[in-house]
Amino acid sequence: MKRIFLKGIKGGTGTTSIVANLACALRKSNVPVYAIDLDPKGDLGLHLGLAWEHQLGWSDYPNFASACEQFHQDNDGVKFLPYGSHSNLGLDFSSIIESCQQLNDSDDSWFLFDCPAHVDVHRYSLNEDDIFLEIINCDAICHSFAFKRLNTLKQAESSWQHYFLTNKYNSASELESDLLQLWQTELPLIAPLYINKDEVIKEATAFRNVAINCAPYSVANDDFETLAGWLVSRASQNDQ
Amino acid sequence: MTNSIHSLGITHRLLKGILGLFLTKQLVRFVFIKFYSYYNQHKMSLLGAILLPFFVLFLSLFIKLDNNKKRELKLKLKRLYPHVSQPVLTPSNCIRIALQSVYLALFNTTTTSQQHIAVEQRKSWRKLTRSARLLRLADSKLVRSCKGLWLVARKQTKTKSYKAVSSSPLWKNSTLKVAFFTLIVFAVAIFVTVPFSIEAQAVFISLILVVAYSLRRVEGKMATIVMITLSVTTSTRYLWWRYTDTLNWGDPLALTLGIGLLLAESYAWLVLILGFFQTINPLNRKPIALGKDTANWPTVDIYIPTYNEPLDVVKPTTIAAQSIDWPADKLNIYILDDGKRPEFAEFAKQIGVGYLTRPDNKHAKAGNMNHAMKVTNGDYIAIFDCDHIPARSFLQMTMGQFINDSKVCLVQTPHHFFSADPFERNLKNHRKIPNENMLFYGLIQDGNDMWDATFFCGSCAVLRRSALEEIGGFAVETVTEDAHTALRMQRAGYKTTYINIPQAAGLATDSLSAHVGQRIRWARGMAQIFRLDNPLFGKGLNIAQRLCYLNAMLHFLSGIPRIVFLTAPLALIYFNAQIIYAPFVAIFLYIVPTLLQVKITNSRIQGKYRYSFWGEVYESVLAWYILKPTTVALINPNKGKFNVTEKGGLNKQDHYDWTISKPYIILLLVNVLGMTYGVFRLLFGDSSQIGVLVISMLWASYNVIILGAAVAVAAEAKQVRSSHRIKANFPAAIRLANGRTIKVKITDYSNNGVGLETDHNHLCRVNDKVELLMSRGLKQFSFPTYICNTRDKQLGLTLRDLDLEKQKAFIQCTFSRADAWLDWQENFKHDKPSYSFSHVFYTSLRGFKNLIFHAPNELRPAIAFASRVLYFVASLLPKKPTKVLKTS
Amino acid sequence: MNDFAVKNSHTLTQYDIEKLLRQFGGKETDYVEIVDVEKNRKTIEKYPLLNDIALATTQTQSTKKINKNAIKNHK
Repeated sequence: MKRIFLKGIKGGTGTTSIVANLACALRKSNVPVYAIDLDPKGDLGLHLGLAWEHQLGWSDYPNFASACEQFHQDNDGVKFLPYGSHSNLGLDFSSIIESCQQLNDSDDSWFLFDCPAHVDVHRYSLNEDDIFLEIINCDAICHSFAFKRLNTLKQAESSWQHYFLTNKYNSASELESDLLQLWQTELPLIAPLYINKDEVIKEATAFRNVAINCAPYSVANDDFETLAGWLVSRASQNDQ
Repeated sequence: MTNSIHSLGITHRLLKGILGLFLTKQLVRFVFIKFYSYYNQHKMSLLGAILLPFFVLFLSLFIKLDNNKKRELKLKLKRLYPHVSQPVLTPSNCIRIALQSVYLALFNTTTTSQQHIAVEQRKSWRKLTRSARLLRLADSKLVRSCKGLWLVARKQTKTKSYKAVSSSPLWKNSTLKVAFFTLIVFAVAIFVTVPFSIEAQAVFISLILVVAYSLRRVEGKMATIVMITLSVTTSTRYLWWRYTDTLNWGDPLALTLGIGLLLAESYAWLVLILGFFQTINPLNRKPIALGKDTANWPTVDIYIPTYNEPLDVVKPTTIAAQSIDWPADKLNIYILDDGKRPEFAEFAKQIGVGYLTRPDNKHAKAGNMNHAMKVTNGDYIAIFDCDHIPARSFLQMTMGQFINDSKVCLVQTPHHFFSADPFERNLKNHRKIPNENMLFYGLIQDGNDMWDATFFCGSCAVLRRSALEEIGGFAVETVTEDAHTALRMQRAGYKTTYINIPQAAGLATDSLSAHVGQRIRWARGMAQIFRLDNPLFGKGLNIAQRLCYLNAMLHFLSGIPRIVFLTAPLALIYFNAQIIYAPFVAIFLYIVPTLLQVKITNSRIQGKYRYSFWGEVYESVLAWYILKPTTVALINPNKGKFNVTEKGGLNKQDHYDWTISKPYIILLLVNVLGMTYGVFRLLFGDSSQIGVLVISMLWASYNVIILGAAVAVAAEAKQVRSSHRIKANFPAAIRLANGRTIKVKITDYSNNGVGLETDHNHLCRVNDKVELLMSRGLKQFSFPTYICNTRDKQLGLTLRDLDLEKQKAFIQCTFSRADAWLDWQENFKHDKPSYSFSHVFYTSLRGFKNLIFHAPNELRPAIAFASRVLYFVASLLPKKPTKVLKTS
Repeated sequence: MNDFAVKNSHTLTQYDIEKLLRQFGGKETDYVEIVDVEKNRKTIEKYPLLNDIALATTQTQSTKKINKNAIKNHK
């Protein structure tokens, strides 16, 4: 079982799109992929083709066993669990994460957790095989948040693998291009790849689909495939 | 008028009366009507007009000639004799009719249906292909069995017993080694000097050819060495035979000419042997990585000397030099401007590189660099000609050699051209056959490196400052200061290295005259070096290095021998001088197999770097021009001036360079006349000389082909664009105005545009604004562009509004990519001599066509006349009857 | 599963380095991507927020070192 946690360093960095596209990219090699929405304001379901009227999720159930009813499967075979409308206070995110262990049907399965931006990483109980991706955009605010995060990571005991992943990168912007170049050498824990800004990521949701299905010849497709590939190699290194 | 009518009237009545005796009134009237119509309407001659009605009457006795039949007959005749023109009865038409009748009688020209013809054709074609396939099958079977035998022999060497024998300490004994070596030399000497009878020679030579043939497809060093040994044996044997057996002491003219030819052949033999020695084992040196800690890396100065080249040419070079992957504090770039132009100073300031000038211009480039050495202080000096754009990996690929061995003073890399040189451009050979440059940088320098004899080539290289200072700076005494500097450093005990990976590319010479000018300079410089600082003598060099320099020198002395070869057969044809005094069979048995063997060996060794027969073409083009400078320089090394090769000019239109091609045309004429004279002699001369005459004519025809190709080169093709387009193959992306992105592949680029290819049909249109995203390493750059042309899966983009930063980034992503020139040889398949010869042949034909097409105006009437005559003669020849068209 | 692992060749990053390494690698050919230190410095100078953060982080680094040494000496 491989767990990946994705969280925006602040709101609106495009985390959910990454989760949806990454899930489909990983699914291309026919392994079980689960995407769990832990964000109360989350909309993961809409990215993966869930009907708009559907309002229930795991947060409407008292226990995990009953919450499992809410697992949906999209056209690519990604199984996802939406957040819901929080009508039941029986479950919280840590119990969901714990309970997902029960679903572990094979070693190769991937669990992607779409985490809300306001919940700090330290509130998750992570072990050393987990990968935590903190999504940042190329601007000065994220730059300052990133360094703040680095401070907290240094002070605490952090055994998981933490990375900063740049999203919505636009090289035509002078600030973004300068900043990314700075980060690539000066920002520790920056991931060795970035997701380019691509209109199709936004457009795809209007089609209730993900970018990699809508535009196979786009750069976005490439980027998500690279992301998947990189995560695979990280995970296999963990296994060794 | 009335008189003639009157006289006509009298003869008319007379004839009428006479005819009225034999024929009926109707017939007489018919005859007269016909006569008048033929004479007046069809404008036949008098005789024809008189005879034809009687002929028709005669026919009508046998055939019923009504209108339909007549028309049919006319049509049939027209079909059978399609080339007969109106009026019918002219002398040329008579010849035509006669020849056509003979043709129709002898050959079956019944217009069978197309299908039938096609079937017949297919049958004969199939027979041909089948026999060809059988031949090829036999050939491949033979080759495979030879290969198998060879592999079995190789396997044997791996068996224990063989290993025990070969690695026994017996071989280490030096006296035994010497004895073994002398034994081999003795054996070779025997083979070379023992005179064989004709039969023995035939057997010997066929054995050698059989071995060469069987080794054709066997790869590996051992097979090459065997082929080289065989070539050395046969060619030495041939030369021995020539010296001892074929000089005509009786005839003084033949003797002098014969000695001339013999000297030329000895030259060719010497160059051959030295060439084998030089290239027998190319070193293929691998780059050495530096340590990861850049604090330990040395400082490097980059010199970009320039004199009169335009700024557009120097800009990309400087920008690319700035983006070389080397710590910025250890990299200093200087433009050395001997032209002292203000716009260069301005540009240097703008992008932040050094700009150096000096008060005078003495000693051209060498003096320029010597002056720069005084005001700079990097540990190493890298030199780029102003049009040689370096890749960003240049320093990291080369500097390792210095760190690894402190005796290394020079690391040279290949000169690769991204534009076509005159041969490639005018013959349309670009990227189809290896260019002239490729043999030296691909093979010869690599071979030199094995013997530690790499030359400095003036650009795309790095030198150690301390070594330069030790020899007193760059050498200024000759016009090829680069080779001379390297020689001096080698004498001082330093080592030179060559890395056979192109890390920079530049512009080739623009026109044939510029190209020849450049070679003249090199030839003169080499001759000067041999007079002033002869590598064969003097201390500091080992024997292998001396031989390599000797070979380089000899290469530039090829002028006289090449001209001798191009004119030798004419001695026999014109003067009947027996320059090779031996019977025809002997000549055939000695010359042809040796040539074959040598050609095959050379093709094997030089396979990817130079195709067979093109070397002769290149030499012929240069032969006349390097004659004089080399001889002058050998006699008096200080005479002659240094002319700089111009770079970056533009050829505005197609034209033929008559000045430059005069020597080839003269040689060509002499040879063509010789051949016609030879034919004349063949038909009418005495028959005792036929064998040698035929050989001489074959040789002359070979010369004609080579010269034809040389003539073809002088037809300067128009250069369409001023910025060169370079082929590429790396991924990139575009972002359209609507924010969507498309992955693309860059297929070519130039100074201000790229061509790219998409995976599936795009929907872009011309003038759309598009953002081009290219990367250099981990950095991605965005360039504003607009679409200038488009096809289904291809786009052409033009960059717009590039400021200096963006220009830098663009060069970094294109020209100075680390892998930009790595495929410089990948496109070239191995040489196939027969194919190469046909290629040269077709080029030669094109040369003749060019001569005629571009003829100067004075000759045009003569050419027009000649072509008209030819056309007329061709029209007399019988033609196939036209197909019958079914008309109602 | 590992199909993804080789996808890197289609990305925009690392392409030229990888091709070079593939052609001439074999042993550990370490090609060093030179960092444009000057450019980075200019970027930090240009934007005051980045400048502040850079100063702050170097300060905490040095204080951390002092703290560590202090603890060591204490022991």
